[in-house]
Amino acid sequence: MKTITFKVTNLECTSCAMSIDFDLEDLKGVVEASTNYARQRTTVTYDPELIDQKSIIARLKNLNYDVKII
Amino acid sequence: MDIFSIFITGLFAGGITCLAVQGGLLASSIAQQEENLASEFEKRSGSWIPVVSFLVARLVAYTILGILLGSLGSLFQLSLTARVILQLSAVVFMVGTAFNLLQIHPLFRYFVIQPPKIVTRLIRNQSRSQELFGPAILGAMTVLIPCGATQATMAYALTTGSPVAGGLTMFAFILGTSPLFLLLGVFARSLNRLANGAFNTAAAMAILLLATFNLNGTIALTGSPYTVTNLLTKIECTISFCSPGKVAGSTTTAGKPVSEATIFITQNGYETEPTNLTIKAGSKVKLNIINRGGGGCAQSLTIPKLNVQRVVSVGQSDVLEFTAPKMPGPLAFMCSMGMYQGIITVI
Repeated sequence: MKTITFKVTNLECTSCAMSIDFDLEDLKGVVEASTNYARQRTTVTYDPELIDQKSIIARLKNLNYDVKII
Repeated sequence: MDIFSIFITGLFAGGITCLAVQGGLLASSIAQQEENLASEFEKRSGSWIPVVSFLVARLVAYTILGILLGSLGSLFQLSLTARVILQLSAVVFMVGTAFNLLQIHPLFRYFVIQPPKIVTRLIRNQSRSQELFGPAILGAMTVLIPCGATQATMAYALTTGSPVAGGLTMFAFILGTSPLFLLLGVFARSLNRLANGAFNTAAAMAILLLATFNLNGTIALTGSPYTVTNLLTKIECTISFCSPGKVAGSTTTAGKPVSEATIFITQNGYETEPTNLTIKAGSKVKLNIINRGGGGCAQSLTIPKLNVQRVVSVGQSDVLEFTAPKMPGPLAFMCSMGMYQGIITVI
């Protein structure tokens, strides 16, 4: 298992934070996604054999969020 | 603020901010229900039932929450200082929420309470339930994930200090947000990121209005005549003619001094007998308080300068005896939120 933290900007509300978690956890290989709205950070725990970092970032960008790896 | 204004706030501003996640959950829940329905016709007509059950359960849950918040707020009615602190905290929370929606500074993000992960996971699992009552349970569970505008309204419900007013506040607000959910829930299937700048600004303005209204009451409760209402009235009186005494807490027309008077609590606020209630400085005064149908905060008659408060329920009466202040001037009395006000003139 691997854990990665992103800085996700342009989150508009706590609902967006929840939506990000729900969306990422729908991806095969993502075990847990946890977004903190106030700190604008998403921590993702994933199985590198099933999904890579690129796909997670692509998913976030697809949802129209700006992402930076911390 | 009256119930209708709260409904309008929910209708035009509240729904959008709540829709981002709650709408998505509703859509997911509807999709699960539809998997159980066989024909295309059933699928089309069937989507009304889950949406309506979701909305009704959501409305009931938030109304109960409002009743609980109002009851909790009523504990603060016991002391005037506690009320002022509660109302001021609510104002700060509302302004913080509004500033966050307007994206004034990242610091204001901390004003929005994010539900814990365990709660959101529970709700998410519920949205995938295929049970008949799945959407209804989900609707009730949204009470655990209130969005920004709803949180601000909850703070307001707390300051009403009455279970009935708190329940009505949340009922009106959530009812206002419901048409949007109904329309999008029935006719649209994908509700993604609808909260955008323009809607957030509208929601922020509505919250700021609610905060100003609350701040006005809080200033009045401290006994200060510098309320927002008074300042606005003063401006109005400067640019056009208005009768003396219009500005509560300032100049009033003195009548014949009395030692006994009556204050009637009515649906529209307070009425006094005699109309121009005047008392002599330092004299003993007997005040009969009769409630002729005033609900909500009007039931808690407060005289901030004397630090006294009497809670008189509808149909009840009470007697308040006090010694008038030694200094002549206006003696303001009001409800516990500072919404309804009146003046006793001390000469």
